[in-house]
Amino acid sequence: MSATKIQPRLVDALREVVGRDGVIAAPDDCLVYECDMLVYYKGVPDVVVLPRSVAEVLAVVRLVLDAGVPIVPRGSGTGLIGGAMAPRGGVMIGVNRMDRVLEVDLANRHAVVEPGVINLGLTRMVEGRGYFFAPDPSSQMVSSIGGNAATNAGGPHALKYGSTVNHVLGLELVTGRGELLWLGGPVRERPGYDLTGVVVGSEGTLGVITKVAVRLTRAGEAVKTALATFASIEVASQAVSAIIAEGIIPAALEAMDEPVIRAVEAGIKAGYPTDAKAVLLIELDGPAAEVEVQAEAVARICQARGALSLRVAADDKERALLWKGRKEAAGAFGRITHNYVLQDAVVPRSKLPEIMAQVQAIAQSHGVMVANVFHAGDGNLHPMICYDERVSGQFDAALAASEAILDACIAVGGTVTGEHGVGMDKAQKLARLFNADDLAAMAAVRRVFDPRLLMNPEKVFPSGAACPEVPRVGAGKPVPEGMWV
Amino acid sequence: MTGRASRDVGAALGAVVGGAQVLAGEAAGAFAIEGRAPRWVAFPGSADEVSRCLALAAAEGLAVAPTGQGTRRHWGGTPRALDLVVSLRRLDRILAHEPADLTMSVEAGVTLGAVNAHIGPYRQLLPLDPARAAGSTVGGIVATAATGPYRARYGTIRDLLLGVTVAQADGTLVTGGGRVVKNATGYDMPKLQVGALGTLGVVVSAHLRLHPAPAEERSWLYGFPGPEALLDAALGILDAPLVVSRLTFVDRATLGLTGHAATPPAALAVTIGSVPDGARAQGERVATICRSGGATALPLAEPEAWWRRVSDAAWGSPPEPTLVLRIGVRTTDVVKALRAVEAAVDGMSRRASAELANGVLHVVLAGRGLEEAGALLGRVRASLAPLEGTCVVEHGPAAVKAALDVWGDVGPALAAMRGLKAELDPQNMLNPGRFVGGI
Repeated sequence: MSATKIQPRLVDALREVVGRDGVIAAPDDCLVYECDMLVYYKGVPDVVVLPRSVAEVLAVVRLVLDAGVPIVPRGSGTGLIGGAMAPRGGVMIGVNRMDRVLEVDLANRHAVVEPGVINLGLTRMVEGRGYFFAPDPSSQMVSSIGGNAATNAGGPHALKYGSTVNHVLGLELVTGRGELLWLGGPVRERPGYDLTGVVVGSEGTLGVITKVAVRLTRAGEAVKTALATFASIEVASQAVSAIIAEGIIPAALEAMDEPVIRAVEAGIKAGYPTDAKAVLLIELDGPAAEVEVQAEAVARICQARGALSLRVAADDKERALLWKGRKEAAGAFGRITHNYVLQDAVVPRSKLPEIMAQVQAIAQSHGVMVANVFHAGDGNLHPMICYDERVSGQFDAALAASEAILDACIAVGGTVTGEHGVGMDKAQKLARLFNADDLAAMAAVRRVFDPRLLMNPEKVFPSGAACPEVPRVGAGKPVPEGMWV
Repeated sequence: MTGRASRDVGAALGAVVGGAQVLAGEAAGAFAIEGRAPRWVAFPGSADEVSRCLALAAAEGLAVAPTGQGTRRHWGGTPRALDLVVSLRRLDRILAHEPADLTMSVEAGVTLGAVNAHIGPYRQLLPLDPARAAGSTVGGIVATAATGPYRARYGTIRDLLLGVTVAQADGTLVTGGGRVVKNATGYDMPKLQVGALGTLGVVVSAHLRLHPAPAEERSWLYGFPGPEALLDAALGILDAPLVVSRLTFVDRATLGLTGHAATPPAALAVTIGSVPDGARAQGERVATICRSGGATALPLAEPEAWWRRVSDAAWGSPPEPTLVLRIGVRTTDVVKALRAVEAAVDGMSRRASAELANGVLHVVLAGRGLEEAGALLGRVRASLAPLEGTCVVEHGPAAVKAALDVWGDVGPALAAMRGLKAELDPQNMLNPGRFVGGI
């Protein structure tokens, strides 16, 4: 499909709505918006619009729909799926300037925010009073709550607290029909279809989110963070499965293998033992007495499963450092490989030891190195398949290994994305998990909100026409430093 | 209804599910919904048979109501039409339980009682405790989004439903979600079935997330001088770093129905599940907060039986003609909502209880005034409007309900809801007229 032609008249009309400083139309300036953090997929929008209010978003969407031009919503652009980019050109709506916290109601444990509010910013506002916004993607210091809702972002603490969808009470949306809708809201008990639940995670294909009502969670009485080391990632995975099977749901249960540990220590110096082949970062929170009992059980299980060491963070500072290593691991990893392909897949958590062995076998058979940093507790893998773009054939080998890993995850009852979402990257994969009837039901939902299929086209839904047009300009470029998974 | 003669439809259903699994005529009368009897009741034994029943119904233009054990068959509006009830009670197999994953897969007709009997020995639970929980089916819980006091800690079926298989109106079987605990693969289709009263499809099986059972669960009861003081204490508990499993207000009338001897104007019931030391320490903190709010501790023997009696009291109890309201407001507005209802229904007998963490207020009304339920409901809803409150009639005499909008206004989103219904059930054959806005 050819890129959409934008008439100068439309650009003028957009400037009328959002002001001159809210419209970016120079091709060079639009280049900044050609991809999210998965640079493999590129598509430059013809125009980027930066509205400041719901009214502006509504007016912009109506103008663009009238022109029959695609609309791509974008938050902070930290996605890893080829999501906030414009494969058919068109108008990108960046919501970063809509960054006001409209309401914080601690007594009722909710907040209402504009979509550009930064995830961690909301937690910073309320943590002094003992509350937090539970979804914590590793990008949380820069990613927007609107983007988190659009992609149903996860994060380490999704293990205990759930993904973003479990924390969105309602939202305001400008649909692909050019209508403004409030769905759900701070009052939790309400009749009707749970449209909020399906808009969360729809990746901008139903509309532009303009407000989000979110739950705020009361912080626990106590928190304990421990680092356990193991002789291999398989052994560490067995310990993970044993902890869950014991009926302990830690706040977070993260795993990293040797290459990642080395990268973290070379860059961030989080205090991970460099002689370990695998580490588990285990966080327990809740009532003090419960945390004590669970910490003893976790230590016992780790020991029984062959842990080489187990260290509990002595204070908040040490705890923060252990987490810094985890949250910035993927970025740090960029230091020790030229390039890598990142995967996001989920397996039933009892299959973790089995799948980790398979991942290593796949790496060997494809002649690539695979490093792992992942949300072990909920079976959410993030293998990073390394390659050097300068060496012919390595990229193809890495891609083949990545595909093989996904196949292995599907084969044990898993799924192809746990928290990053579908975007362009996984759209074709949906057909592996869902048949034509399943996908037709999703398409029916889309028609309700976006009958002209102008909202974020070519994302989520598999289609024969989706991929070939994407210029693979960036294929094989190193993943930028400071990327979060 | 058009198409074949009714005798032929019965025979065609029999060909799908077996002749012994179809009821017709008077025998079908036991499955009436709000006084409207279906012409047939079919008991399919598999997802495929559900699919074929619906395909048949679609071809014949039948209006269909899915049902499980019928616990909440009286929820929702009066059917605009009803030809066929499809009962899922024979789809009662537990398909898988992976203890180490804390997940399970069940057919829709499995009851919560059967689920918890199966997983109890593993010290796991499906933490849903609506009224009549043990006999309620998983499919029915999905369709009604029924909740109980456990919602304070564990959320609703929305938070536990990982995946579904649904027979669509035309019989097509579709799946959504998956069986892993974290999933961002495509639209979250299971959410659309939650609370949809079977109007978008018939859930035939579900993948569920389980929770570990706490080592110990303890409950306490505190009597307060009034609901206002009680709410202050409850807000104090919610603002403390405590993990409460239940946090429920019961008024004097409800407390009386539970057989409790004490009769304070308002009582707060709290459950905490933790390790033994954790339950004890948190219980002490709850006690401190309640006492400083002027409360006195009341004895609570056999707490689980008592909790069931609280649920039953909020259920309404035929033959006593009652109007049961489920009101949703912010936690801080629960007492305001209660006072507003009291003002609107002056003179009627009433009892109330509330799940405070989520702002769910149950009011049971009885006595003179029921015959003017429409005006009464109008007054209640008008008084809740400034609180953005919702008010659903859960139960009422059929003749009274027939004249009511049991759901209330759902606002501008109704157009999108209607659009969704038109896409997924274009013939409008699933539970016509029983859902919001006449869907």
